[in-house]
Amino acid sequence: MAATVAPDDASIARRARRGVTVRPGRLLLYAVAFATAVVMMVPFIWAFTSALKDNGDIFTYPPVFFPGHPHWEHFVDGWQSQVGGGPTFTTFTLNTLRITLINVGGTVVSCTIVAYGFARFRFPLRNLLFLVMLSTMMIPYAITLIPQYIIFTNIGWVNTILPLTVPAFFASPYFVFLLRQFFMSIPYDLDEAARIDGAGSLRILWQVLLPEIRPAVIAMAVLTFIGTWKDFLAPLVYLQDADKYTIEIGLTQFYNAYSGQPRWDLLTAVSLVTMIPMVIIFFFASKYIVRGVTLSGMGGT
Amino acid sequence: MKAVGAARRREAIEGYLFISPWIIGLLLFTLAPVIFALYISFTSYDIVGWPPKLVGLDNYKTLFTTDKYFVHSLWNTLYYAVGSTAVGLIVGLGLAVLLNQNLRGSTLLRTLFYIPGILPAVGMSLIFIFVFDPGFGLINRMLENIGVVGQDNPPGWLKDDRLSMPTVISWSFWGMGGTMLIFLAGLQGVPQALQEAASIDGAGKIRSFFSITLPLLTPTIFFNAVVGLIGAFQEVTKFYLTAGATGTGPNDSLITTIFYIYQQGWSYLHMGLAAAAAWVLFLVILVFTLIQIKGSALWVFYSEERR
Repeated sequence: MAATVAPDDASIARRARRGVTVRPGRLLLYAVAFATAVVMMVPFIWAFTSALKDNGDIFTYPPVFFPGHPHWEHFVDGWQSQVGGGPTFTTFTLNTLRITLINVGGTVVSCTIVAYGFARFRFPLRNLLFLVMLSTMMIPYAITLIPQYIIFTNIGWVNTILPLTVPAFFASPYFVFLLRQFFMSIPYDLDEAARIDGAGSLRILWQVLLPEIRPAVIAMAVLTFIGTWKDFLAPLVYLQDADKYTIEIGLTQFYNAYSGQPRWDLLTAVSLVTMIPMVIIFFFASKYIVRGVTLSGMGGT
Repeated sequence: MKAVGAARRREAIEGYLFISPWIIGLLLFTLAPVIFALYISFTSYDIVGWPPKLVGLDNYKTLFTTDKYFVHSLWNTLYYAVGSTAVGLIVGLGLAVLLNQNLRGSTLLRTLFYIPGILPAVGMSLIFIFVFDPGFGLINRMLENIGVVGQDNPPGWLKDDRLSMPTVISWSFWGMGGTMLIFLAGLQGVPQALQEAASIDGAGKIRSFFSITLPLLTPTIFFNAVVGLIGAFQEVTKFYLTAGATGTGPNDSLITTIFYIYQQGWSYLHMGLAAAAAWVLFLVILVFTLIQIKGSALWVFYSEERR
């Protein structure tokens, strides 16, 4: 959407003036683009061919670039390795999916209504509160993690998914900011008209405004999905039993379990498999991700 | 008059109701914890029992005087934050400019450049650890193949204390997709008419990039720099996985402040020390952000038209 802008009249005219032959400068651009794309992909290709190798072939010199007999079973074996003495990556995936879906739901609902409040209602201290909200984005996660951990320990939430999901229901500043921008681009007349017809505030939000900002809501859902899926420090701290791990923690413990030389054939295989959901999400939702990233400034890194 | 007042009051009540989830969250999950963390930082506390023992400023004194790692971890964090933000800005801007040239297949290229940045960080880090292994990693194998390095003395990358941090920073090349997308949106907001005018006036492409496009992009660069730095200060996954068994990397070259906080808090249960370190990190991030905001007046150019 963003990159494929139709050439405007001026650039068509310019192209016509210069003729259609490919100029050397252009060729250089293609070369740079191609080289960058290759560098981007090489680690993944190397990981992929390594996953298919016999583990011994990974360490031989000269290196084997393509295995003669690809070991496809490494993908299955790696996936079913019993990390921490029991669960497989199927368990970790289901755990991650559960936490992620709850967070997506909580974030979408809470951020939408909070953004609606900030965008459409006048109340005392509104601008000050909005400023406070923006400034909380600077507070590092580590500083709240310690006291939260102490509190959650005392109320028995450690080793449950509650510390990883409940906060999502209390709105995230980034997305409130994003959605507020969208709400404010909708003419207020729409609200007024509905109000005259007797609609209450919730009904206006649901029936009049939400359809208008649906792309932003989808962007928020997708970015929350990706962010929660990749979350590391909080699940690392809160989840103690192996059968509760998320994928990221499971893979980390799988790597840590090797003292000395890890089984890189299995590790590369599992690493690649854990990437598949993000790639699928991207292909289904790329247009919303592009819009969400450019509007909220969340790169997903 | 009375009816208007009632309607106003009603509107205010409704507004507060709608934003109440955030207010409750702010109090419960942000403000109270931040203040609580300040209190904990003046105590010695191992989670067992209550109340913690007050020790005054001892934790802060320990951090800056006797502690072996903390000050060092701040430098490493700064090194990483500045380095990886710079890589993100330069590569992100470069690729955005490239994609903005209407190349054929630019949608595919955009996808290829962006996707690595949203991939799970643990898998990414493991693949990089594998690729950068001094013994059997792809990088050294390729360098050996073209004869740049000998097989007996290959660069150690993550296992060499001078190369380890630059190595981790170099991975930001694969993580700059989001920055690139924001630059791309910024580039598409640069009015075509200005560039046309410059071209009529005889300015070449490079000249018009530096005197028109770049100044108009400074707000975007500023935004990416602020957001990038705040994020990079808090990077944890890469360092958790690369720091190795010691948790600090070769010659302590990979210990960062977030990791230090994690170690003190959760490996040793030194919650007081960890909270003090977290508060220092908070102040460092705050100071850096304020410096950037103040400094931006010198180089960020806002066109009169408000976008």
